[in-house]
Amino acid sequence: MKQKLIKTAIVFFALMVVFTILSRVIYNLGTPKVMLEKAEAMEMGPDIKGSGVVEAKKEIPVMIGTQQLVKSVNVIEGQEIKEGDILFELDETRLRKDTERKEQELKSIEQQIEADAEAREISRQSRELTISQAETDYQRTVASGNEAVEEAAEDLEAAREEYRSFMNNPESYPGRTKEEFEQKIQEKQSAYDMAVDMREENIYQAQKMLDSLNIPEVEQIPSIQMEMERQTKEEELNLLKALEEKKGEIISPTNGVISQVNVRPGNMTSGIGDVLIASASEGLILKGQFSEEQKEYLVIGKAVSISSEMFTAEELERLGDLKIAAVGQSETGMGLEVSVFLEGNTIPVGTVFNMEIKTEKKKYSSCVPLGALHQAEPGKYFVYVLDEKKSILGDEQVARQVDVEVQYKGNRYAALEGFGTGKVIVSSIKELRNGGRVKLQEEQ
Amino acid sequence: MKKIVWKCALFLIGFICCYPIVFVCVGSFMGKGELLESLAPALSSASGYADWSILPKEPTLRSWVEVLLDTPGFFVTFWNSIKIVVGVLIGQLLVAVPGAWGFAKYKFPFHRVLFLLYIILMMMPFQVLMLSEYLVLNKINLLNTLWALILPGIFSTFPVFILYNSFRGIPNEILEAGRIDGASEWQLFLEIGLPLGKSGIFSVIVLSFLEYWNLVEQPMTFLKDKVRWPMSIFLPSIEPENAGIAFVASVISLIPALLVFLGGQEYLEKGISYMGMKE
Repeated sequence: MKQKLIKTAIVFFALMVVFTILSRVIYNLGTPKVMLEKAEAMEMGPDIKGSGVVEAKKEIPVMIGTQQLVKSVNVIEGQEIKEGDILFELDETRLRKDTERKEQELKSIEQQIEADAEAREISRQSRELTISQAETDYQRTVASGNEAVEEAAEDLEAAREEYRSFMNNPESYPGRTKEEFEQKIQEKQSAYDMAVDMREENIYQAQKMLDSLNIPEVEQIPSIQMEMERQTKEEELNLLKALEEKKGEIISPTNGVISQVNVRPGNMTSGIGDVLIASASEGLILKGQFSEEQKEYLVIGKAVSISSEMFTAEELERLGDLKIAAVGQSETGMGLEVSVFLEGNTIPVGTVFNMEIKTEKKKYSSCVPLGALHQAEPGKYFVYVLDEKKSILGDEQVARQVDVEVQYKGNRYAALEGFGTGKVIVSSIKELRNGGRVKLQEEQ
Repeated sequence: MKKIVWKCALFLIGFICCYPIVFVCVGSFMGKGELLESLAPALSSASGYADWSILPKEPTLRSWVEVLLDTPGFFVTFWNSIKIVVGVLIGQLLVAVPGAWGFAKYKFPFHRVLFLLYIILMMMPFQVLMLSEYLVLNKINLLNTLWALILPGIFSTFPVFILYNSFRGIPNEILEAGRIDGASEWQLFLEIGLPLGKSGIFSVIVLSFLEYWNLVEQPMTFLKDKVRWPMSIFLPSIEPENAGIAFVASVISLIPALLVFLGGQEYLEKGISYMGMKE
């Protein structure tokens, strides 16, 4: 019995020790850990801050001008590259086959052009012969016409001479009458007129034939198209050969940062803008994001200061006096985008800068971080300060609520009226309550 | 038949005596809502009588979890009680046992007067001694420390009285025999007095434990900071809204007392019988 009682007592006290430790641990875990910060005097004003990324004014597209199978892509978006770096590689087998096919196509079209040229030469020769014949015909027509007219004219003149001779000495033409001679003249006149008309008509017809043959021959459209096609094929072939010579490696034409990659291994190149490179050589622009509430301070021409851990103050000074060059809606639709031109091209594209718009500042004697300021209701603020309270667990640190008047509220600090330079609780993972126990976090 | 009636009557009386323990144990497993509903007339100004069921309607361990895991203050008071009780008991064993041995076995000038003073002091309630104890403790800067409870406890006259009667029952012939055999006075005390007065010593331990485990007036008078409160004044400080915690704390505080009582039951009876012995 006594043994059992002793064992029970031991177990009881052991349990009490365990639960004592456990309850303490749980209590400590549930206690908000806080950090203190002293209220300080500082200059404050609108704190217009944002972050910006350096971009190139222009982007250089890298395109191979033909559709090819991509074997591998060696760059990713945002990667910094140097001139001569391999951007992506084409499949050489496919490239070789395309080259051979293009050679065949070029050969075929050249043969077609050659055949067309031969046909056109034969046609030309035939036409020249026809023209020559037409000229001969024309000359012959003119000659024969003139001859017939001359003959008719001679006959007419002979008839007229005979008529005059009859009129002068009718007796020498016995049995013949004047009317006979006049009729003969009329007949000869008709024959003459007919000969003239015939000559004119024949010359006209011959001239017409000659003229029609002398019309210059228009270059035939199919042959022009073929020539154009040949040139295109030739250019494509040259392009493919150039790619084949480079073993399908597409290299960067400039230093810069990859801003867009439009090719993927196993896919075909688009032929246009396969990779876009943002190059500093084309000029730089810093694009910063700001909130809509800061709109009134984002004015074109306002001075901007930038900072980055990657650059010294001297390096940043070389970028010149920075001013807002443009303000517009952000591409994401959230907030505003501020553009600032950077002088020189020493800053790598893609560099991130902290941006601050310079504004007028005012000195306040008691400023606390915004994290320390709490709002009880609209317009009523309070801060928590560290206090001590005696409890059943001994002297404990507690958060005590102190009502404050806010003079100015910046982005990071708030100026308080009549608070002095006491310490306030600035951060706590758990929610604080007035009089609630807190634990001061050890500074790391 | 008469025997059965007697047994039933005794069982009923026994149950009535034990009911507070049942009440506390059942209450520790009740939910907050059920406790408030049952105890509303007792805890607030609600009319009617408190209603209490033998078993909880919706048993829950919530109050136990709350006390054991979420109330570290309870353990502070528990260990304060342990410190006070252990401190007092050790002190009494070191002071009262030799003192009682001296009174019981040695004759010295003003022996009877001194012992009478002890008896008178024992008779005085705390309210009489409170002011003088307060002044003394204040003078020696022990107020608001556990020593303010332990020191008066160590020098309490009650254990001397019980042990005196216990040691007086040891025959002087045994001591004489020891002396003849060459035993020193210390040897007589350690090797004859203590073993033969064991029952008295244990009864002192049991009675003192129960007395100092349930100490209320002294801590309320001498202790200012809650951090030094024993469990006996932590329980009354629990608000009615946390009645569940009070029930659980009561059950836990009951356990050590019960263990000591069960362990020292036989000695306790002897101790009480020593109290009735005449000088």
